[in-house]
Amino acid sequence: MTDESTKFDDEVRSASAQKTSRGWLFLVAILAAAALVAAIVVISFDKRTYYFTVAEAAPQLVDLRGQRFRLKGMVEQDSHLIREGTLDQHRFTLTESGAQIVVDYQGPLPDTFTDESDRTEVVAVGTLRDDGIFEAEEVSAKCPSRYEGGAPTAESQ
Amino acid sequence: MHFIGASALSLALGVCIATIVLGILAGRSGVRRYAELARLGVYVQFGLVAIATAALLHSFVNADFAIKYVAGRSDSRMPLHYILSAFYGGQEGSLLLWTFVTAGLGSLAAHVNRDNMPRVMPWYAAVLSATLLGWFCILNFVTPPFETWFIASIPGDGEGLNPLLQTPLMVIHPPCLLSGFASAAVPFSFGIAALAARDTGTSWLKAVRSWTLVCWILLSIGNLLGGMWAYRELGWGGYWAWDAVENAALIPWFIATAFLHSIIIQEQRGMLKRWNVVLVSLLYLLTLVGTWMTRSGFIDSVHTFAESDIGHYFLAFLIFMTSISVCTLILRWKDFGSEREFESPASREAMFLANNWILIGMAAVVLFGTLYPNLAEMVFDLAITFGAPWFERLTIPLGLILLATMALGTILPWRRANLRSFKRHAIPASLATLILAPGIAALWWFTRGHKLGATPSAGGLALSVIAWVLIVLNGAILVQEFAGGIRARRAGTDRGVFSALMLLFRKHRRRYGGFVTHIGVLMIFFAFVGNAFKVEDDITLSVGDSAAIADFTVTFESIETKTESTHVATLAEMTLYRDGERVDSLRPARFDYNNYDRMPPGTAGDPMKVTSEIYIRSTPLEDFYVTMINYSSDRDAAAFKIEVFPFTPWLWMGGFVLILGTIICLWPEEDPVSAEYRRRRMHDLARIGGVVLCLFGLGLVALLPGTAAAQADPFDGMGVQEILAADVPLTSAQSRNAERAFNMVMTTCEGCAGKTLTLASPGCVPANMDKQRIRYFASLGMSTDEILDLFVEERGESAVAIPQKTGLRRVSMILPVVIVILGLFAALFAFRSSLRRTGVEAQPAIAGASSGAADSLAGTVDDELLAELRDEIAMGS
Repeated sequence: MTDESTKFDDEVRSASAQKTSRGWLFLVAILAAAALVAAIVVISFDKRTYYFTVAEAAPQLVDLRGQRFRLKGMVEQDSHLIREGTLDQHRFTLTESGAQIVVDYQGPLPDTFTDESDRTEVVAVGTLRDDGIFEAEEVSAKCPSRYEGGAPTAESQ
Repeated sequence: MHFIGASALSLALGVCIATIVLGILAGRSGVRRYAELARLGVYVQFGLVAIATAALLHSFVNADFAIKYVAGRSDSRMPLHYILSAFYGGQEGSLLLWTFVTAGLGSLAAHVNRDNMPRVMPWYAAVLSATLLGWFCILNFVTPPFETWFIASIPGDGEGLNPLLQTPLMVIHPPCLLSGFASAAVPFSFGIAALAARDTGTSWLKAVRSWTLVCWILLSIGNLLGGMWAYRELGWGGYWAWDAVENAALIPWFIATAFLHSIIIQEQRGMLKRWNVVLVSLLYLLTLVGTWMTRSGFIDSVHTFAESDIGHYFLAFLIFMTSISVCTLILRWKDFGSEREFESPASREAMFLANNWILIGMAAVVLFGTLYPNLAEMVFDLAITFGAPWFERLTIPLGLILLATMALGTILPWRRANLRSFKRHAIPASLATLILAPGIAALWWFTRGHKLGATPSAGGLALSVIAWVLIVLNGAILVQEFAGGIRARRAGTDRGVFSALMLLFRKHRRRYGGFVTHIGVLMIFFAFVGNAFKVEDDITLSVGDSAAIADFTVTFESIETKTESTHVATLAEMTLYRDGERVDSLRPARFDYNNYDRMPPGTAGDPMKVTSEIYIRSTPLEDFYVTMINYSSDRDAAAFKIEVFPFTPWLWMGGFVLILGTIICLWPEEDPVSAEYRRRRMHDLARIGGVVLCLFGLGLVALLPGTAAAQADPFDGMGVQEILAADVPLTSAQSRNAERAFNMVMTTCEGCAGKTLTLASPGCVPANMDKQRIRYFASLGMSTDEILDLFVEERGESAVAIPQKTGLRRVSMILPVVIVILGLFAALFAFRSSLRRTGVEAQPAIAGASSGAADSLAGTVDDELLAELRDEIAMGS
C-alpha cells in the first residue's frame, strides 16, 4: 500500500477511531497502573523488612523478640568468635554509640568483614531470639571504601 | 602533568559555556557560522577532556604520587592493567572518564550528523554542552582529579588497589557501565534539540535510535559484567542482589529498552512522538538520579562510593537538567502530536506500547524499591527496607508479561491483525510449543532435574513453568520468522540456506539483528528459570572426608599453602564424584593479603584481609560452585559452601548473543542511493579515527616513562661503602646548593617514607647515597634547581617534596576562575552581538526560505552564507 492511500485510509478511519482508540488506551493504561500500584502496596506489606540500627534496636529488645528485621552497626573490635569445633558458626558484637547487640551467624562472612578495627559497618538480616541474640541469615559488610565495587554480600538460607 | 590536566579542564569549562551560548544563538538565528562554531566547541571540549584524561593516565603510569588521587589508588608494584583500572577506581577518575565518554561520543555524533538536520544540530551542541557543564563544574571545583599534596607530605608509594577489584572483569566492567551512563547524554541531547528545533525527521530518528542503542549495549555489557564479577569473585552465590548501585544501573536499562521499541512505532507509524522524547529524557535523567543516589550517600548501599558532598552538586545539576527537559517539553507539546491513531489492540504497535508500559513499570518498581525505604524514614519515620524477595515478587510477573508481549509483538502486524494471518503465524508456533515445552522439560527432569533434589516452592515452580512455556513459544516464533525470511530469500534463486540468512541480515539488519537480541534475552530468561532449582549446602569437612550434594559427592583431599608476592594462598584440593565416578577436581582457595596491608590506618578504610577464590565447574547445563569459607588453624579441616546452579551458564551465553544481535543492529544499513555519500562518510570516519588515534598516540608518547637522567651516575660500579665513604670536596656556595637540595629531595628509603633527605634518619643508607650524589652534582657546579631536575627526570615529580614549578601551580589554581570570567564575558558579548543581529534578521530560516527571503538577508549575513543560501534555494527548486 502506498503512503498516500494509507494516509487517506487513516483520515477516513481516524474520524471514528480517534475517540474510541484514545478511550481504550487510557482505560488500559489506568487499569495497568492501578494494578501495579496495588501490587506494590500489597507486596510491600508482605515482604518489607524493618530496619534498625543497633542504637535504635537495643532499647526495645524485649519488644523485638521473635521479629525479623535488618540490623546495622559497627563490628566491635576483637569481638569475632568462631564456635569451637566448627569453622562457620560465627558470633560477633555489633555496636553503635555504646549500645551493643550480639549476632550469631552460620555461613560465609563477606570478604570485607573484619574485627581488626571498629570501623567495619555491617548490615545483618535475621531474627531476634528470645535470649536477646540476633540470629542472622545474611550478613553484608560495607568497608568505608573509596573504591567503586560490587556488593560484598554473604547469604545463607 | 597535573598542570596540563588541570588547565585543560578549566579551559574545557570555558569552551563549554561558550558552546552553549553559540549553540543557542545558532539554533535561534539559524546562522550557519555559529552552528559550525558550536560544533567546533563540542570537538574542542572533547580534545581538552582527552588531554586531561591522558594527563591523569600519564600520572598513573609514571606513579606520580604528588597527585593525591594517584597516590590514593595505585602503587608502583601494580601491573599496568590494574593501574588503568585504578584510574577510574575512585570518584574523580570515574567522573573524568564519564566526561571523556560523553564528550567523545557526543563529538562523534555531532560529526557524523554534521550535514544532516541543520536546525537540530546547533541545539544538539548546546544541550550536549549543557550536560557536560555539570561535570566540568564538578571536576574543576568539587573533586579536582589533579589536586596535589601539600608540600612535603608526598608519599613514597601509593596505597594500592583493593584486591577484590584486582580482576580482569573489574578492568572492563566499570568503564562499560560508566560509558553506558555517559552515553545517555547523546540521545538526550538529540531529544531536547529536536524539541527546540521542532524537527523529528528521518535523520533525527536514525541518530537518536543508534545512539540509544549504543547506550543500551554499554549498559547491558556493564550490567552483565557486574553480575559476572559478583558471581565469580564475591562468592555469595548470585549475580544480582538488588543493591542500590546495581538498581541504579538497571533502571536506565529498562527505559532504554522501552525507548528502542517505541521509537520503531514513531518510525513506522508516526505516533508516540511526545512519549519518545519523554522516554529519552527519562533515560538521561535516571542515569543522573542513579549516580546521585549512589554517590551522595543518600542510599545505604553496601557498595557506595566514598561519601562526599558531591551529592548536593549532583542534585542541583539533576534539578537543572530536569527543569530544562520539562520546560522544553511543555513549550513544544503542541508541535509533536501523533500523525496517526492506534487502530486496534491486536497490532504490533499495541504490543510495543504494552512492552513500554511494562518496562516503565519495572523501572518504577525498582526505583521505588530503592528510594522508598529512605523516603519512608524521612517522611514517616518508618524504618523499613525491601530485600530481594520484594523485588522479585514484583519484577518476575512483569517480566513474564513482557515475554508474552514479545511473542505477540513479533507475530502481529502493524495497524491491525486479521484473523487469518494471525492464525497462520500463531498456530504452528503454538503447536510446536505444546510439544516442545513439556517434552524438553520432561527430558531434563527425568535425566537430570530430579537428581538435583531441589525443592522449589509452589509459586516458584509455577513461575518457572510459565516462563519456560513463554521462552519456548518465543523461540518457536523466532525460528518461524527466520525460516520464513530464509524461504522468501531463497524463492526462485539457487541460494543456499546460509547465504540466504546472510542476505537477510544484510538487507534487514535491524529486524533480524533485533531477533538475535531477542534470542539472547530468551537465553537469559532460561538462566533465571534455573534459579528455582538451585541447591546449596554448608558443609565442614576434615581432610579425607566426603559429603554429598545433589547427586554429587565431594571429597576433601588436601589443603596446601603457597606464598605469592602479594598474598599467601591457601588452596583446597577436592575431588568431585558423580555416581561413584570421578568427574573433576575442585580447587577453591583463600588468599590472605595481610602482608599487603600498607595503608596508613585511619585514612581510607581497611584493605581486604582475606578473599575467597571461588571455584566454579561450569557445564552447559549447570554450574557447580564451591566457596571455601574458612579453614582450621592446623589446616586439617575446612568449611565450604557448595551450590549447584542449573542453567546459570546460559546467562553469560545469552549475554553474548544479545551483544551480537545489537552489533548486527548497529551495523550501518546499506542504502544504494547514498552509496557515494556513505563512501564520503567513511572517509570522514576514517579521518576522525585518525585524529582520535593521533590524540591517543600523543597521549601514549606522554605515557612513556621519562627517560633516565642524562647525567651518568658518578658512582657507577662502586660499592655502597665506597660511595658513602667517598669524599666530595665542595666550595661553600656548592655546599649551600647541596644542603638546599637535601631539603627538597624525597628519600626512596621505605623506612623513612615521606621524608626528605634532611629528615631521614642519619643511618639511612639510601638517603645517604642520595646525599653523596647530590654533593657530587653540586661539586660539578650545578645549581639546586638543576640537581632537582635530575632527580625529577629520574624518579618522577614525586622525587621532590616542594613542587618545583610553583609559579605554574599558582596559575593552575587561578586559571579556572579566570577562564570562567572570560567565558562569561565572551558569552555576554556573543549574546549582545546576536541581539543586534536578530533585531535585523527576520527569521533567516535556511530551509524553505524563498529567494526573496535570501535577498532580504543581504547585508545582514556575510556573503559566503548568502551564497550558500542561494545555492540551497536553487537546489531546492
